[in-house]
Amino acid sequence: MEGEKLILDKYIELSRDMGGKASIEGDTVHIIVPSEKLVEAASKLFNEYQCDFRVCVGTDERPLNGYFTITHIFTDNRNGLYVLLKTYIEPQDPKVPSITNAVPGADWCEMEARDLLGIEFTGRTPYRLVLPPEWPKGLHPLRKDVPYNYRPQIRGVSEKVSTTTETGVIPIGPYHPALHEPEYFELYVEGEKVVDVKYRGFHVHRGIEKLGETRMTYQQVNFLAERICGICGFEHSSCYALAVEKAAKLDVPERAQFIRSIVLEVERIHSHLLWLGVAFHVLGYDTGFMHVWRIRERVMYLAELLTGSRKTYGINLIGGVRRDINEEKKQKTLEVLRELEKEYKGLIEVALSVPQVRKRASGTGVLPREDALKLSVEGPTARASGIDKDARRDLPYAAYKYASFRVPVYTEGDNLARLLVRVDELVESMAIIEQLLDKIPKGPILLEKYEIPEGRVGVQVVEAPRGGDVHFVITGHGKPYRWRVRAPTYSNIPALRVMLRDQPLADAPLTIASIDPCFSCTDRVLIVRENGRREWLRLTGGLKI
Amino acid sequence: MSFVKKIIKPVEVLVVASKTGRVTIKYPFEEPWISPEFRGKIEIDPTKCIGCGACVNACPPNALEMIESEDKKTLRYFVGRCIFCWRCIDVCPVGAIKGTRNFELATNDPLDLYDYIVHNRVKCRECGKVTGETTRMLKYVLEKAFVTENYNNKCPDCRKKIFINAISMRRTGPVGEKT
Amino acid sequence: MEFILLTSTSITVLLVNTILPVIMDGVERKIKARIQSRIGPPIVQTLYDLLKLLEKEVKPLHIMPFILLTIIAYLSTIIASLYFINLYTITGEAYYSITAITLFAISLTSNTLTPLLLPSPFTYTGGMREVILSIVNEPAFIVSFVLASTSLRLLNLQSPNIWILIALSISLTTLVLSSYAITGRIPFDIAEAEPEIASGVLLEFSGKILALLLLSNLIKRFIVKYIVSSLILVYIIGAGLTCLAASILLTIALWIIYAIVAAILGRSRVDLAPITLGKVYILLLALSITVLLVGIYGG
Repeated sequence: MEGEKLILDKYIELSRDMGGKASIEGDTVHIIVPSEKLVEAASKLFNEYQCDFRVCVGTDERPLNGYFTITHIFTDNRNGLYVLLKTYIEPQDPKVPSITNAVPGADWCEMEARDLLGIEFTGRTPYRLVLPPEWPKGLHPLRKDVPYNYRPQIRGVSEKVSTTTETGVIPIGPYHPALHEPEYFELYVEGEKVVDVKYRGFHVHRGIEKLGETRMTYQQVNFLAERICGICGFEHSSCYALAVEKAAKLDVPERAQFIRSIVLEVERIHSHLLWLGVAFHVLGYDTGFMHVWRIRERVMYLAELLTGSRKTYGINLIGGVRRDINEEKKQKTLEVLRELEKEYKGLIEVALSVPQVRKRASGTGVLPREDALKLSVEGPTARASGIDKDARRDLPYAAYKYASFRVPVYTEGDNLARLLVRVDELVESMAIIEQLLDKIPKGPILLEKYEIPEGRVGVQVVEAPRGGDVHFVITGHGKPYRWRVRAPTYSNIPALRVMLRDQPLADAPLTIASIDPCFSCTDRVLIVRENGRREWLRLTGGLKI
Repeated sequence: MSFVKKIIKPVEVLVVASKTGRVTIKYPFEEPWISPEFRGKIEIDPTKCIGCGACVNACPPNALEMIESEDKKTLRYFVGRCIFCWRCIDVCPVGAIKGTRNFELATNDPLDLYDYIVHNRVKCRECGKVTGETTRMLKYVLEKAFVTENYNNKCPDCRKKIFINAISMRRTGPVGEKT
Repeated sequence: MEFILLTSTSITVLLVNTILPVIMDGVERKIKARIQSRIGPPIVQTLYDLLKLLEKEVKPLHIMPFILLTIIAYLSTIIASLYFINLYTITGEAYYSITAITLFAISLTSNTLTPLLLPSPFTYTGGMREVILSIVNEPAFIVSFVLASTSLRLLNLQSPNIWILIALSISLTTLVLSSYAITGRIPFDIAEAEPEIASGVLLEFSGKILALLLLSNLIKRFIVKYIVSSLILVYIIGAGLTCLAASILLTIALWIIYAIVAAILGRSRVDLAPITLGKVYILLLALSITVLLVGIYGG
């Protein structure tokens, strides 16, 4: 415990050095620094203390205290701590220094705060990220004085594709067989080699955060959160529920936490199987694709049996879950897992022996460890590049502290490594479910009476199949005052810039698929590659690494 | 030998396939694979519903809506918005909503997507003004809680009037009759 | 008289030959479905698809006349080639087989060049891939065909010679391998690669044009196997109508084997496939030529 105290002292000292103040609540360290010290503090946290940058959150706190605020969320993975670095911003002409030079991963979230809240970031090139180009100036939807159902009269303009004479342009998207969601990649090719990539996202920005802060109640937001992602929705609703529970300091029944963990792992299994299928399809190995999805169907049935729905399980509430796991379901689950494990192992061995699968996955789409660290990538993308991080182990939530499991890490950083990380994780997930089912305690599954005080802050990271989901909640009256969601793909897409560079065109779909992108959860704009030599390709200012 | 084995390995998928047989079904003609726990469309029992609106408050996507008119309160269920979370079933105080396993909801007629349950609103026995509640809800409340004869079936304004009257009677006699 | 009989038989068989690939494609889809544990579409599905495409409107392309021309050239040469193989199986005359393979080579070239006329980046990329692949494949196919038929002829003339038998088996292997690659099945379907370049070479075509192109591609798949089987069978059972029937049956058998192979592999990459294939071809062809020469002069 002394070690822990020393670590906390480290953060308190940091805040004192920066002329700010620190407070500790549970596993969260709140540090408030003046805005001129923000960059220095962030740089120290990221580079010196080796904290993991997750996301930044801009908040319109004018109705509460008259200021805008920006909160940079770091996690200290080795010590299981959340570190929130917050600064207040003057409401007239809100300006704050950008931390992107110290923490490159903050690029997108800063631009999102600029679009949605009108906070200007000094010391970097601004560009429009979230809002469509024709959106009226000065209208910032996440400000509290903008009603959620306000619709500005705008006329859609089509964005012109830039073409050049020297290189061929291969558009991938907004609708393309390799992408299952509306996203747009413009690949600039010389022959079959990709020399540059432009990425345009945010076609499906749905204003979920605004909706959760205005129209819905605490309990309803669970169901909205579940719909952020079509594949890993339960991670989002769990993450939201856990964040609110942390903010309100609710004592959630253990049995509910076990059920959450079990269902989370069921979701990871089906998500990884889905990904494997898609990867095989992209590699032209359709037989593998069909068989993987065939065995995935067992997991979908299992999910339906445990929760009542194949997807969007809808069993999370603040304070617990809605469906119990009885003895019969437990036996059935174990039976399904046993069959699944046997079939999965046989099948994956066969699939990985197909020469094209191995040959095309190995050595392509390499993401070196340094770039992965700089960009704060998440999940299997990070673990394939030698970064050993997994929120289930580092920041234990729900019932993961009762299970022992291995976190597979590969150092190659190529598509094969990302594939193998998922292959290994699947086996671990099955083992986790078995352990948890074995240890599940008796008791209630839902907290009947509770109170959520206003103005509390809760932040939670949940390891989704694609990486860490981050939910940040400031409690309000009957509903969240501020709810910030960050899906893992948000952190992983910028890494595609590195992975696609100078690769054959044929590998681009596999590389794009290898981060298991979940575009609807993410949705941003970015130039993937900045290069002085190809200055003419710039449409919007990006960030230079 | 191991080299040959490695080359031959992908062929094993034929073994897997022959062991499995075919798993797809001719769907509309064969029963789909649905677990007993599946949450499908909800059915509202119009004889039990009291029109309290608890389900409307709980419904995350606004699939259940209360449409109010001069003398009617209509609970509308629009299956097109429904996310089949069954929160309404959790919160219904009288158990009027039942979950089914039905998910085959496609239709030619958009009107099939709506269910309506119409409730009459209570008229004030005193002044005839329409109050917020439905008649059934009033009945339900009267069964659960003790309310004096004097006060039920009256609008809040009249109730207030009667209450003030009663108090003033007790103290000083009827209001306005003091001399 | 004999010529008229020959021609009429050949034309009848030709009709069978153009319908059969469409049915066999349905069979291939069914086989693939079985391997993938699915029910799969009915066997006549490809026919339905083609008939439906014939009803659809054609998306106009500004170089339409050229496109039409190349596709018609493709289709007519490929059918002519089919006609000459039929003649060859019935008569056993070598110059028919040479004509057939020449026409086939011409048809492949016209097919390869069509997508390059189009302005779409997907079609262009797909077309370039097709060109690269055919540069490796076609010579190997033709050379191995010549080598195989030479060794067969030698076997017929001389007493059995072990060297020539070895040369024959090597060149037949090459022939089968290159015939598989020419059919554009996985792992060599890189020109169409749906997830990568959205059906590449086929992307810009629609309606009747697409139907014609797809039909020609199916006939191409048929003819490649048909050439191989007729070459072998003419020497084994001698030319004639029996040989014709047997060749068609062998073609169907080959089709089924190819379908199974295609179902258990993944797609290769444009830089991997031609290099690997090229290395294998050069090795096999050099080997079979050497062995053949040893057989002729050494034995």
